[in-house]
Parts: sequence; structure tokens; C-alpha cells
Amino acid sequence: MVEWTDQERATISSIFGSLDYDDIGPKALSRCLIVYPWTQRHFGSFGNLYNAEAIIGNQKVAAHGIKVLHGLDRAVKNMDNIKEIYAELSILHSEKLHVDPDNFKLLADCLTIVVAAKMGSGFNPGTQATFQKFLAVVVSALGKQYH
Amino acid sequence: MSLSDKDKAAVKLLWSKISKSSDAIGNDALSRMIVVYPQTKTYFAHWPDLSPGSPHVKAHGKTVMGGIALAVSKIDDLRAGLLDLSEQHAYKLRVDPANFKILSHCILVVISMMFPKEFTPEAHVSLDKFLSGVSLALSERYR
Repeated sequence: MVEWTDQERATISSIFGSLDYDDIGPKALSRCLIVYPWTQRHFGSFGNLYNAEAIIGNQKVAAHGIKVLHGLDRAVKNMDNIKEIYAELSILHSEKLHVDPDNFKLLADCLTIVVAAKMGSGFNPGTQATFQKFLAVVVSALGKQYH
Repeated sequence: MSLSDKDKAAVKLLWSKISKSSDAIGNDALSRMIVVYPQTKTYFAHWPDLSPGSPHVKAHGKTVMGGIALAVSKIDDLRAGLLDLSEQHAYKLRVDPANFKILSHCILVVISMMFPKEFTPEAHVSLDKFLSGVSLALSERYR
């Protein structure tokens, strides 16, 4: 059972409350596809992913980035049972989408970097620690149903 | 995943823009590494003060970034260029190489915060590859 302090809950709430999902989602996913190109494995049907420019301009990537970020909402609103909340999504990612769970960590790292760019000096060490703790719990929950 | 000419050019270009802030980058990266990854404190038990921005942390951040600067200058052969540093890390410091990845991530986060415009996805992938190469070169003499 993950323990969250009041400060950590407030930090996560505040960060996600301040994010423009339509901006951050596409930025995080496109950065992941560019920095870790093997993650493109799952997006064969998305059309042109030939280079960074194509990926950044790709509407399907953008739409999917927004979708993924909204998927994090569930965890933000239910920080005390993230494992249960994501059980179905975990099964989906394992049995239908066949995503290597290591990839979740890669996307989490890219999201961290995109949020850091947006928040600048506001992304202080304590904030980063809380944000990464949150993402680590999400990543762990998404990997839970793999067998 | 070796460095292409494009990667080397991207790293040198980014470095030219950020190197004047390298002391600040080193201080911030090391400071937050200690907070975000508390297990890294085990390497600094001999420092009286591990809080972000403290004198020892600041000085050491500068030392680390000096190593990065050296690596940029030796980008065409990191293995040979960082041999002495590798010996030091292997025999004297004995830092578990897993921590190179952790500090690299913190360096990327700080650069992203301080230089959001310059740290484009393309610059990011080249720098990430470079730091992986540096980490590998530092591990060279371990066993």
C-alpha cells in the first residue's frame, strides 16, 4: 500500500491541475518516439514517423498523447488505489497491445522532462521526487497484470 | 547505439549554448539526484551537509561537469579519452555503474528546465546517447 503525505497529494494535484493536456500529451509522446525510436513499434498504423519533424507534426501521435495523459487522470483522482484502478489497463497493455513494460518507464521519463521544461525552476528537487514517485507507482500498476 | 556525426554535432552545439552555466547545472543535477534518489547518498556519507546547494554538493557538481566538458572534447573516442576517469571510478570511487544512468537523467531534467527552447527532442536524443556513451566509457575499467 503506497503512503502519500498531504504535501505529496497537493503537489500531484497542483502539477496536473496546471497542465494543458493538449500541449503536454503530444509533447511527451512525440519526445518518447524520437528519443527512444524502438517505441515506434506500437504505432505502425500512425503513418509518417520517419523523422523528428514528421513525428512532431503527426496528428495521430498528438491525439494519442492527449489520450495517454488523460489516462493518468484516474491515478491523480485515486492515489490510494492506483493498482486496482489500472488492473484493466494493465491487462489491455499486456494481452492486447503487447507493450514491453520497460516502455512505460521511458514514457514516464519523457513526461518528467517535458513537465520540467514547462515548470522551470518550479520543478524543484522535492517536486521532482514526488512526481517521479507518482509515475513509478503508475508504471508499477500498469505492469502488474503481465504474466 | 554509437554516436553519428549528426549526434556529435548536436551535442557540441548544445554544449556551446549551455557550458557557461555548467557549474549551475552540475549543482542542480547533483542536488536533486541526492533528494530524488536517496540511495545515492551512500556515496557521500563523508560530507557534513547533503542539502541542495550546500558547499560540498556545489563543488562536486562542478567537478562532475568538468568531466562532461572533457567528454565533449573527446567525443570522437570516449573510451580512450575517459580512461583515467574510468580507472578512478573503478578502483578508487567504486560507484555502481547503475548510478551513471541516474545522474544522467538528472542532468537531462536540469537542462530541460534551464534551456527549454534549446533542448528539443532532437537535441535530447543526441545528448541522451552521448551521456550513455560517457557512462559506458566510465565503466570500461570496472572488470
